[in-house]
Amino acid sequence: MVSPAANKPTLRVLTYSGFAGKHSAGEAAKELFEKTRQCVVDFRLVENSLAILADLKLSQGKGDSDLILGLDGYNLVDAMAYTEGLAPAEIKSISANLSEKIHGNFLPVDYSYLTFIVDTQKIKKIPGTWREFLLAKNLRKQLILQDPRSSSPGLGLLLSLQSVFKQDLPLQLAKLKEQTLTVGKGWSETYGLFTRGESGMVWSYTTSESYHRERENSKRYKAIYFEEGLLKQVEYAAVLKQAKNKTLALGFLKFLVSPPAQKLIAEKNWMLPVNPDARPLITTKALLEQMEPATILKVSDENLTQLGKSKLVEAWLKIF
Amino acid sequence: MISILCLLLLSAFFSFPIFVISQKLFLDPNHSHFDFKFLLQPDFKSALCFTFLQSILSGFLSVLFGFILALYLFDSNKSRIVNLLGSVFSIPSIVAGFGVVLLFGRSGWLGQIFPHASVYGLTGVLVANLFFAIPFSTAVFLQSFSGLPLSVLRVKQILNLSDKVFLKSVLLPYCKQSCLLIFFQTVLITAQNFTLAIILGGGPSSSTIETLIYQNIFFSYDLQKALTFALFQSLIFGGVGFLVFKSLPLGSNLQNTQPKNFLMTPINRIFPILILTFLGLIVAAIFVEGISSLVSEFRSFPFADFLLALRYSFLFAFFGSFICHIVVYVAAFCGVLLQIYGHQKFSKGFLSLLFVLATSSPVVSSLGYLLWLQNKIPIWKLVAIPFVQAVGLFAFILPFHFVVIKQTVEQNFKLISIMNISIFDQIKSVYIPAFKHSLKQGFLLGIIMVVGQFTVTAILAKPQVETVTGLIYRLMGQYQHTHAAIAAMLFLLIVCIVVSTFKVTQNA
Repeated sequence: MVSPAANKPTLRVLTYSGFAGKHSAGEAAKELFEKTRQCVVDFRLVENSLAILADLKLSQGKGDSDLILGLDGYNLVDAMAYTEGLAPAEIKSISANLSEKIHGNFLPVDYSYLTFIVDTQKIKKIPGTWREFLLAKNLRKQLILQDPRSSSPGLGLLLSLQSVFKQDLPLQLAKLKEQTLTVGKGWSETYGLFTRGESGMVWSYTTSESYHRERENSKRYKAIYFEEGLLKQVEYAAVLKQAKNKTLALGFLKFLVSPPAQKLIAEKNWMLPVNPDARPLITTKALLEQMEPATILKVSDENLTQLGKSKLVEAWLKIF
Repeated sequence: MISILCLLLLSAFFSFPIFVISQKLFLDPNHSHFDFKFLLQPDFKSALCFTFLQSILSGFLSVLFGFILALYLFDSNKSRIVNLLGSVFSIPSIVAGFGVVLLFGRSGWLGQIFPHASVYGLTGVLVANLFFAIPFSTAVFLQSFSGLPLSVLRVKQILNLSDKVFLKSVLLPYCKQSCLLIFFQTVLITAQNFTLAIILGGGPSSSTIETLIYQNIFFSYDLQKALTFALFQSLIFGGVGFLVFKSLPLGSNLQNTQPKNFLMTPINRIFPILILTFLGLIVAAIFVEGISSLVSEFRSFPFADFLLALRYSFLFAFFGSFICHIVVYVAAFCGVLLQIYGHQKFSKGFLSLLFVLATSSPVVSSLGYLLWLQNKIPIWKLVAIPFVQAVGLFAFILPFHFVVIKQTVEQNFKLISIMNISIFDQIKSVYIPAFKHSLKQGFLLGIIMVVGQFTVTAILAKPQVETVTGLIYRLMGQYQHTHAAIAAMLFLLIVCIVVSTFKVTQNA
């Protein structure tokens, strides 16, 4: 007997486990896409966003995935060689609706801002600027961070600090070390430690505040909106050169930025939609009330190259 | 001649991953070449220092605490505790790491009492290392004590020696070799520590070489760096492995009747009870967290995923232990036969070579197979898993069986050659009855030792299949910590049941 799935085309999507695990945004989007396109979406999961890039390099572009989903904006340059370009007409038709730009071959899917989340039961006085934050005595050994070598938010912290302090970075990193309790491998593990009560602050996303407010009906956790600004983290998707079914992969890309998929991604992945048309569909009130920072930090192209990132990580390694 | 050929083949099998790595580094034109400068970089130097600092300290402390605990358990004949201690081997280190946080973290049971003490860094890694190393060293010391002749123990009563004098002049000299063995084996196990350094290290200054290798493969994808570190690590660990081999009591007789209820005046009982409390509290923390999570998340827990992962964990462990036993028996038989024929140097040389190669670390072996099977059918990577596990187990299973094999072969060799019995009959009538018991125990011990292993399956099993450790790791990565706690508790419970049912460590 042949299963009904055997006759359907399969789309293999390389993404990180947080995006496409059980009850996730990816799983919900997959179900919807499979229904509408009569196909099978097969997720190939890696640990996190950075591991997507490593997986592409490890398989040397000979893997069986058709599409990557969830790569953050700091690693697009490195992943470019493995991706298929979008036709200008396609770019024009898709980007018309989006709040974020298409970067080369990469289509934005969702975004949020990186910041510290504070446990207000532990930290009463919340600093308003990055400088105050690094000098605050009540924050000694209160921070949980992620390793920039294995975590994309971790790299985001380095880029944020570089953007704010420029040449002064090493000195500020030394101050940051004083405030740090521990550095973990990835966001999920460190956020778990934080919510267990291990520390007063964790490096995360502004949308984490919305999560607690909506899901737990709690105002205990607050995001800091630093006066100097916050770094925006955008997650992207792209069709791979090695894709066996490029038409289906392109169809999935377009689907990801459609309002129904954007609603699922926003509500289940706790990120903000890049398609403003999805906003009326979103039922999670806390996400819609999410504040935008007054200033968005800019990262120079030089710092986003392999060499630029390596220099930042080296500076961090010297201090930590 | 056949023995030498067999040992040569085994050496080739053991050195294969190192060969693949060296070939990629030195001969493959598609890859950059070996670069010494990586070994001078600050992150490597700091990882090298931390790797040895934590492992040497763990070695010292586990010898000390393991000796005290073994003395207490030997004296009071608490076989159930000995048995339960064995289940600690199988706890995935990721679970143990979180057990330590649950207990000593700022929000932990004991951590709340000392809010300013930090469990992250050397302290946390040491505590977690000891959680594994103390039961291990206790088991080895207990085995060593079981070899003490009854007359030696009676000396204490006859001469009315004080505890201190008896310890200093009788027990310690007797256990000197075991102390060295435990020290080097603990150094080896904890130097290969990977997950604990990630969870409890607290930052790059408290990272191990193994973590750096993993990082460079799966996140930065700097293969040149990863391979250079892997090759360097296999050289260092091979050196430590050689020291372990030198400390092995391969020629001594440990099979004397085990004396029980032998009333040595107990040394202070408070200390061993404290050690047991420390071990028990971590296990209790894992159970309590798991049970409380199960109560609240029973309906949403992915039981199907857990059962599938459990099946794979035991399947890989079963075949890993099986292959390891074939390798150990072939190596030991050939080694003993060479000794009988007067080639002692050859025998020792080959066995030490195998031992050194086997201790080159799971990450190095896995990496070698990963590179070799990179563009081949994915199923081959799964097939490679038990082989890598078998190589990793060799250093622990060989000492377990060697003495029995040596004694049996030596005792029966002349008789068999005179009677001209066929190989089939030899196996059936001589070797199977002689090895039956130790084989069963060793086989189960092998399963227990690798069933909770992470590194090998993390490198070779993903993304096709998932073991329980992989599942726990993934659940934590998906911010499903309560589900991870349930999986950890259920896994620990199942292993405890297996260990108690088969009385693995008690008999071992």
